[in-house]
Amino acid sequence: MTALTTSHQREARLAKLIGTGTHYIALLTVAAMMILPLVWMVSTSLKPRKDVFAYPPQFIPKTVQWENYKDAWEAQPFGAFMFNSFKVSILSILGQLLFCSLGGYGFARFNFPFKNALFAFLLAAMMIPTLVNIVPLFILYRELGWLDNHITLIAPQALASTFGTFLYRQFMMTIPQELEDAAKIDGASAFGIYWRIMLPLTKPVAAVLATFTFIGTWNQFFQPLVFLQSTEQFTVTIGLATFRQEEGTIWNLLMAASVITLLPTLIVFMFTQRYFVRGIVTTGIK
Amino acid sequence: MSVIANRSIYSVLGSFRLNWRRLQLVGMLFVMPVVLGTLVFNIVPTIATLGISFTHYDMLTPPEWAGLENYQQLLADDFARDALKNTVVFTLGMIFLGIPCGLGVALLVNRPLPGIRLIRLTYLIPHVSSTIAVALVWQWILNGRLGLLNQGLKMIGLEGQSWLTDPNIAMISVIVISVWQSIGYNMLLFLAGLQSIPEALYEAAKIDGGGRWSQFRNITLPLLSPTSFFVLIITMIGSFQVFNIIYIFTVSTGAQGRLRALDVWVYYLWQNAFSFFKMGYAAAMAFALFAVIATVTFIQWRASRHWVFYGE
Repeated sequence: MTALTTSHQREARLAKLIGTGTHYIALLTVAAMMILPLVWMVSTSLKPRKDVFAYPPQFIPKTVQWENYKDAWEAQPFGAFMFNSFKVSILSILGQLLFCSLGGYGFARFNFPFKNALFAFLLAAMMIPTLVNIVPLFILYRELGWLDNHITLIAPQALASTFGTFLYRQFMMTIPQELEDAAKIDGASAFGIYWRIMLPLTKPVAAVLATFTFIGTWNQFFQPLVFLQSTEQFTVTIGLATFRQEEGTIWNLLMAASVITLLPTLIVFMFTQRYFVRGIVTTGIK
Repeated sequence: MSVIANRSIYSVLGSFRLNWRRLQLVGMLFVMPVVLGTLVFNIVPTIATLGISFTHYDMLTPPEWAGLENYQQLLADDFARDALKNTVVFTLGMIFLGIPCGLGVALLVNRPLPGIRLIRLTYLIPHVSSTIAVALVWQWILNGRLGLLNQGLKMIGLEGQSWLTDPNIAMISVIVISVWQSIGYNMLLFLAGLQSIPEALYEAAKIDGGGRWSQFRNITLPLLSPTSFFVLIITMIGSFQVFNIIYIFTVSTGAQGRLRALDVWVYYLWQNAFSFFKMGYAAAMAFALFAVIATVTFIQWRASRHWVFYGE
């Protein structure tokens, strides 16, 4: 009787082990599907030209040719592209953090006329995709002499980020009012409270917003394609597309340029994935 | 420098100290930048889009009033009809292939196994990658003559396809690539939904003798429906605007290689505006897109009142 139970238990344990094993195989198969294209990108980027079309295909390059990266970097002004993308991303983030936190504080803590109407207005504006506005924005920027200037990419993100304002407002409403009351008694001004109490307490929102803005701005394509004209002003995604158009299908260099384009977002993602995941889960932002 | 800037703004705002508690008008100062910014960069341009859509405007000569001509022309335009058809096909693909894939993967990763967090992050990599770079590597993999896929098929004795240049297959390839890129995002949303379902319900179902499929049908799917609906709306809105991947697969391969099968709404809009300089026509296309997105969003908003908490 006892022997029977133990063999039964052993069988159950074995079945569970096999189940877990199969599960892992499924998980790893999907993981392979997700990253194999990127592995192939890196692999091609390191091959000398003669090995690119080798049959059967080699995943691990026989000869590694690091010069591809140098050649790709020099074939188009990638240094300038990277600088531009960093500049646009960082200034967008800084502007957003400032104006969204200001706006969020205003909506969370004050009662001024039309407050709810203005907030509803911001929520409605959140639904308008930039694509829809591309024609009037192009005309506006042309009138202002802003075309081919990075301000076309930075200003709307910094000044019109309704999503960020919404995020700040929701978070600030959860902060206990008592903290501010104490500061008010001490004679702090509204701006002083914002600067010394609210900003330090809303660092988690800043982290989420900065992560999304960085990845979103870095990968942005439509707006820079429309608003930027000269090669020196291009951001990295436009630079990459131009590389494809001008250099054709020199696949090893093209893949090296693609890796260069991807690397900053992947590095940022690696360090901020916690905020990234939390941001998607709590707000559904893309 | 920030200290100085801080202090000067501080002293300006300091003058409100006396009455700000009573009037609270200072709140208006706080919200002013974002309200004005939204007005200038979002609201006014949308109204302007509608206005421009009633004109003929080539950016060189002053705009001419055209009434509803652009919209009438849009209805009769074969290219626009193709673009609409292709966009709908793409959207349907993203809904019927992308959403089930996202849900399936979410179910797969919804287990507290060692290393599962790392695996989930791997699935997100395509989502955070630039669509341009992603489109380029897929263009290389799917290359008709020497791409990895066709080479692999050759090794197991199968015939390759012109995945991106055959008009019958190209859109399917675009959908599969886009699904691949969106899986991680959909997975995260579904995973959050799955984890909010109380474990006790499954325990109860087990006692009642319900199998896995019946648990999925009777507990998971109904309780996940808010998430599914949200994913559906987000997918639709995003798919209507597909552009980047299409751009790489058409423009960058040169004008001759252009494929009507891949012309989507935003691509044709972009061409009208910035290649043909038909600003009025492009604005009409943009406003039509806006109307569709606004309708879809409105439906979502109405429905979401039952489960989304917006505060207050």
